[in-house]
Amino acid sequence: MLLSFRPYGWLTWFAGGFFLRDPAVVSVYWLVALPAGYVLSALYYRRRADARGIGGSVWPYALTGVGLLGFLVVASMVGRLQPGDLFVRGLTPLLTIALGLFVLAWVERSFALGLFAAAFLTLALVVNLYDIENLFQRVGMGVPVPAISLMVSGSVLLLAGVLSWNVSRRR
Amino acid sequence: MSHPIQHLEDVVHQRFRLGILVVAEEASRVEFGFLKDALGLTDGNLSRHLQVLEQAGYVDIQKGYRGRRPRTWIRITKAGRRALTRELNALQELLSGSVTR
Repeated sequence: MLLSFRPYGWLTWFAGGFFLRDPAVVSVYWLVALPAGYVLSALYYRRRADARGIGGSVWPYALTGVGLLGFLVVASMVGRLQPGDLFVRGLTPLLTIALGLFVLAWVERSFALGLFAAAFLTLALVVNLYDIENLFQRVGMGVPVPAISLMVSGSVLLLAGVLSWNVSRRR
Repeated sequence: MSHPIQHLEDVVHQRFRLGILVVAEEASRVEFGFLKDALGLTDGNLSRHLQVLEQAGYVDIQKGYRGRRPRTWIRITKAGRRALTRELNALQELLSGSVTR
């Protein structure tokens, strides 16, 4: 299917929230949240390196994340992202986060993080391809907001971050 | 064919300096205190080994502060990475026994 109607220009296409009420808001959210997340990650790793006395470079991770984000932006500007199963729920940038995690696992030489990246990539694909609010409704939990997909994947990321921080603090 | 020991470099082959380069190669930067604890060296010994590596151009040493505490950070240079790779390749060649076959 090819849409010719673009009420918000490239912001409609970026992040892929074509059928959401306001795709531009979703796009702006990702455009702010992702770079902020990478900056915070880099600051955290720098601070951790200062405290531990040793640190790897997180630049490959941050640059991969920003590069993939840039790719999504450019692709949406030149109209290469068309509505499809991966581009309709406004969660496409989750895939870039997952790919960035693989780079972080390589930089950190962490097998556990690599496994988590694989699991998160699977989750990112699931929430991009399936309305997971259906699962909640099946068990009688009314969650009418599509944002539940973002909340679930965000919670998984946050939980993993907290667990990782706890483990590294104990070492 | 030259024997693999010809590719072992005394500056790198010394066990503590080899340890310093290996740790520094795995990280983007490593602090003096971390290296001291990891390799079981005294301040003086570690300083001396770092000086040798710095003079060879294999590490870059930067002094700074974290709060009020002075910190010394060590980074491996490109030349250091190359020297470490040569050393490890030579050791691998020795271990594989390809010379005596």
